[in-house]
Amino acid sequence: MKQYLIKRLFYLIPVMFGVSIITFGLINLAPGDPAEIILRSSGVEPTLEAVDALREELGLNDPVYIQYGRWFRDVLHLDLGQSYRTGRPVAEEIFSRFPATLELTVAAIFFMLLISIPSGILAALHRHAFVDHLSRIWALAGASLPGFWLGLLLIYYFSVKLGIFPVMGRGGLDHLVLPAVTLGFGMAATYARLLRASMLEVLGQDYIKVARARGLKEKLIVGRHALKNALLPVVTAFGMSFGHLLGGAVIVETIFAWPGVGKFFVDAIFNRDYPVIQGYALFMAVVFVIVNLLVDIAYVFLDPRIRLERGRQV
Amino acid sequence: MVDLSQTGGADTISSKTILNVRNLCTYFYTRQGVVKAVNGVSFDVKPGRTLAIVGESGSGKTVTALSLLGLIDPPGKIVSGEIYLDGRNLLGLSREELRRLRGKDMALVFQDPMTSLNPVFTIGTQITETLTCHMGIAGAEAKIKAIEMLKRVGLPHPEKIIKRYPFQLSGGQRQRVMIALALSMNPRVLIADEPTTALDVTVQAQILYEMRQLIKDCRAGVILITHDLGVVAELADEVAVMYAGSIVEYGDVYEIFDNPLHPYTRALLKSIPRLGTKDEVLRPVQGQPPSLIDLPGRCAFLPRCEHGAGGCRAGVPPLEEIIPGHAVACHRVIAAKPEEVTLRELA
Repeated sequence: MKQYLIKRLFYLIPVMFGVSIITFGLINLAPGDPAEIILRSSGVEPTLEAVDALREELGLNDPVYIQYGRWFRDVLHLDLGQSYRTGRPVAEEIFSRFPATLELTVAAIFFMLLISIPSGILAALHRHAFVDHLSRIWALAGASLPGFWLGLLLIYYFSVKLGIFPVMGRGGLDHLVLPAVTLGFGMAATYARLLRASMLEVLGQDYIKVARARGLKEKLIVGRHALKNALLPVVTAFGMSFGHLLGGAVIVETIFAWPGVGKFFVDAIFNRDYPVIQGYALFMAVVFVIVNLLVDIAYVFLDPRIRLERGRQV
Repeated sequence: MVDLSQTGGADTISSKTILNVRNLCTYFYTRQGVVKAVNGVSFDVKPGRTLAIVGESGSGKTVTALSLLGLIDPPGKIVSGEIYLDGRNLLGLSREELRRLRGKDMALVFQDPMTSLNPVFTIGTQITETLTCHMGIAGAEAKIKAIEMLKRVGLPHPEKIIKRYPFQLSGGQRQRVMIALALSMNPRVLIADEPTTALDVTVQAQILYEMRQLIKDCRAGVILITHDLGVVAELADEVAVMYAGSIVEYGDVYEIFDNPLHPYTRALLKSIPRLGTKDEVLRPVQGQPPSLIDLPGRCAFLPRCEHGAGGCRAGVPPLEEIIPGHAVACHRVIAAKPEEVTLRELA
């Protein structure tokens, strides 16, 4: 297990190296001269002399590999440059906002699990019955309703008309409910269907029949024997969907004026704030890789076949 | 011996038997029609004795076993019949009562040990949860009992085995675990559904030998479901030959092997390849089994029967006792005198 972890962490090095090259390439491939953009955004007339001077100062006249080396050294020191717009260090901007995004994402995942696991199991147990049809319609709705529309609808109904939840902003738990539901809704529906299919497959297995023949209680058979096996494909898919959640967070944060990185990132795109875009891309890549690692570890805990076979191999 | 004239309630059933099945019918209601998987099956199981149910795939052997355990899922349904375990009609029990009985009074060893155990739980967990369920013991006590059970089926290092996952064991080891699980509660009836089919030939022999010992020790009545006549010869005391959802021949194992009366039983016995004979051609039973959806109102084996005649169309032949302890469902055999039947000219 330990060796497996070390191996996985070791694999992170080439992945992160590749990611750093791509994100660095962003700034070089982007249209427009960064020096010119900086001057414009600070209200200085970008004359030829001023631009040249700034290019020299920023080291933009050096060969690309030297620029990359310099940038990479800075990244290793957690220095992602400074935002053109705010003038503050990008790392600081991201780190100060990320907890809000993480809070939102975790709440959405919690909502998703809370809804999708019971409804997936119920739909599988009552196949082709009312519950199953209901979950199918909901899955269709969840997959086709855009997040911004659902978010606005929820705000209108629960905040404006009923006044149960606040309209926007970050604060206590009540602030979290609507954004989390908006973010997790579509995924909860998808996951309920995924778990249903997976449960149906597992419930047809011989070991379930044998478990029944052993006289085990139905609750134990469904909740333990079947569920643990049925969760395996769901966990795999989850690792991939995490990106959708973070991506979706951008929209949800904008609707609910949630002070997370997503909203900050959208603002950066509108303002062509390249260091922020670059820093955000790099940061998200790191988050992604870590989440995938965590999912793999969870998988290893769920499935002894992987845990023990890999252990033997290493 | 079986008295097939007994078709009534519990009071008429011999006290010597543990399990009495009378006229069991299990149908599957599919879109194509009603599949009569088990169609009027009756048999008895006695303590310490083994009844083998033999037949081709699709003859209703496994459905019979699952019906006994109350494990028929929709669209399947037990349509009629009686199943008495120690005089108690199982078909009158609630789901919960049936569940308590499964694994305790009636245990099952399933055909494929590779798929019979849950892959994500250790052997120990799977044994102890059964113990917790039926005996209410858990923790260290259950663990000790689990180790004891594995020892009983001849598994070396049981204290290591309980920590293993199914995929870490060989086929033979897994089937031993399944047998240990099945026998752990000292069941009254053990149903073994093709217990050795998925195993290597050498392991098969070992497992059969061990099963015979264990069955003898625990005095359970055994229903052995198989298509392997070698296994039947090894383990069975009585044999029921099933064809198209019905028993076509029923009798003592020696009677069945030495004096098979039904043409289907004869064909089955002939199909076994023998070593040391010049006859090198395999002799399969000709033709295909009939569709169970629209069974004809005559002998179901007729299209494949070598001896079929006009009289065979006169309705479904009843299972009739020809000589004491040997029953057969064949118009020709029933019509003929018993002396003529025992003549070997047809064999």
